[in-house]
Parts: sequence; C-alpha cells; structure tokens
Amino acid sequence: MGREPGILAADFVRRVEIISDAGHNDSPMRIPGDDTDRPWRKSRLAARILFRKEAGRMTARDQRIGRLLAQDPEVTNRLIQQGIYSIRYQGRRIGDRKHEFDKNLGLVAR
Amino acid sequence: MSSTKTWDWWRGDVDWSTPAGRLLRAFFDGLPTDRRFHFILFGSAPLQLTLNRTWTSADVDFFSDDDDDHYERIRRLGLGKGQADVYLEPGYRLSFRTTPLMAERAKVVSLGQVTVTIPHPLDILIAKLARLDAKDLLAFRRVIDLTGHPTREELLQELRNAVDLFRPAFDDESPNLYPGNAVRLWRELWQAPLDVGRDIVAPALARRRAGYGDPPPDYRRSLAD
Repeated sequence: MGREPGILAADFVRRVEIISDAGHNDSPMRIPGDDTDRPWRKSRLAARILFRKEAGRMTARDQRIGRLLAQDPEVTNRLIQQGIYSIRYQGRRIGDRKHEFDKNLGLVAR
Repeated sequence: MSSTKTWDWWRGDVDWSTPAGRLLRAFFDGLPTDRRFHFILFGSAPLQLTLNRTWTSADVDFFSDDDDDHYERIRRLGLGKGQADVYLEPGYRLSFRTTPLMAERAKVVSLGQVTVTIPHPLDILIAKLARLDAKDLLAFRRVIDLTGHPTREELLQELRNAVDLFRPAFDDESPNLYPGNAVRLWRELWQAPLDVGRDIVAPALARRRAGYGDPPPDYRRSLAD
C-alpha cells in the first residue's frame, strides 16, 4: 500500500529542512513527535527557496521541493510571508527590501 | 504619569453599604470558607455600587468564573427572587454580552476568599444596548448626567471596538437588536443620525484589517512556477 502523498512530502521536506537549516537552528527545543510547528517549518523552508529563487540561485532540488510545498495545504502565503520576514538569507534579514523582493518575484506590479 | 485612556473617568470605588452591596456581603458571608470564589457582576448593580447609591435595581446579576450554579445556595440563604426585596440573580458568562475591553478596565475587589469583578459603566451600558428598554435608556442618560461620559465620540469608539456585537443573529435567535438600538440611542441622546455600517462597522473592519497587515502575495504560485 502506498504512503499518503502529504506524509511523503512532509518526510521529504523534513530531511531537506535539516540540510537547509544547518547552522541556523533557532528551535532547539523540538520535541520528538510534536508536529504542531510543522506548517511553520515547511513555510520557512518555502521562504528560503523563494530567497534563492529571487537571487537566481534556485536549484533543481529547490524547484522540486517548491512544487511540493506549493501543493501542501499546511503551507500558506501568510506563513511564508512570516518566514520571509523572520529568517536570515546570507546573513541578512529582509527588512525594508521586502517590496523589492516581491517585485523581483513578479508578485507585485511596482 | 497620567493615563490618557478614555475611560479614566470612573474610579470604581465600591460602596458596600448600598442595597446591592449589603446583599452581596450577605451572600459572601454564607459561602464555604475552604475555597476561593470569583464573581463577575453585570446589570445595573455595578452602577449602584460605584456611581450612585440611590440607583434603583431590584436584582443583582452575577456569574461565577467557573460557571458554578449558585442557585441552591442563594435559596438556602433566602437571597433569591421572591425571597428578598433586592435579590440575587445568578446568570452565566454568556448572559453578559459587552465589549472586549471589559476585563481590562473592570475593578477587581477582594473580600476574604471572594474576588469580585465590577465592570466599568461603559461595559454595563453597552450590554444594555441588547435590549434598550426605557429603563436602559435612562441608565445611559443618568451615567452621562453623573459623569459627563461617555461622550458621543467616546461611545462611537467603544462600539467600534465591540463591532462583533453588531453581527447578524444566529438562525434560532431573535434578531440582533444592537444595530437598531444603537440608532435609537443616538437619536434619543444626541438627536443625531447614526449609520451603523458607515460609522461603526466599516471603520472597525478597516482597523482590524490593518492589524492583520497587508495580505501576502501569492508566494505559493511563485513556488509552483
């Protein structure tokens, strides 16, 4: 019997997140089996992929995971936006560059 | 530093020698002493207790924070409806529909093992908008006579903060009378029109939207591209 696609995606995302979060672990109190922050973790990963997309550094793996995340009902635009505001990409927070970021992704007109 | 809150005009000093005060003290004296109690008053009793001792109120409405049913205890003490001139009317939290600021500006008083929350007159008055009988309208007039508050602008602001009171009623409820009663109140108190949608609901929803922040762009679409 095949695994539920959502679970498969979650496992995949979890593995990739561990890689992408290396050196940026800001939630050291993770409790095994507690998935209450799973939507947030996946959305933060989505934000990280969008940072790489905006910088023109998106990999094939990013594209694959990005498509999975885009289909994931736990990943919302609102949570992704919170992730964009909260994480550091290349050592910097987005700060006042958010509008420019959205524009570079083609999500706002000007 | 002085506060700039628009509800500072009420100090909430309680006169326990009022009819409502004496009744409550008699009830508290009859409570078991081996645990703590917390009661929240509503109706007109808080106005008598804190604004004017001659304020007439036949009953003292209250509920308990743990929704304990005190009916039997009140009957045993002879303080219930039909047992005393001024009587205790135990209710439930849901009976007191008012603003979200109620807890923030209420006065909390401790008497032995009993804690009593006495809501601000603004919250008492706004709850009266559910019905706005002649007696309730007089309560608005009297609070304004005694304190100079709420002004029309203050009440407008309060009703915006309490915008959810203006939502349509559930199917099996009687119609929500808040919108119509607010219009009537404005006409009676200030001989002025009130457009609930324009003056209360629209500004309140605009503020709520601003509090949520701008809606995010469609990042999911960008991920899928």
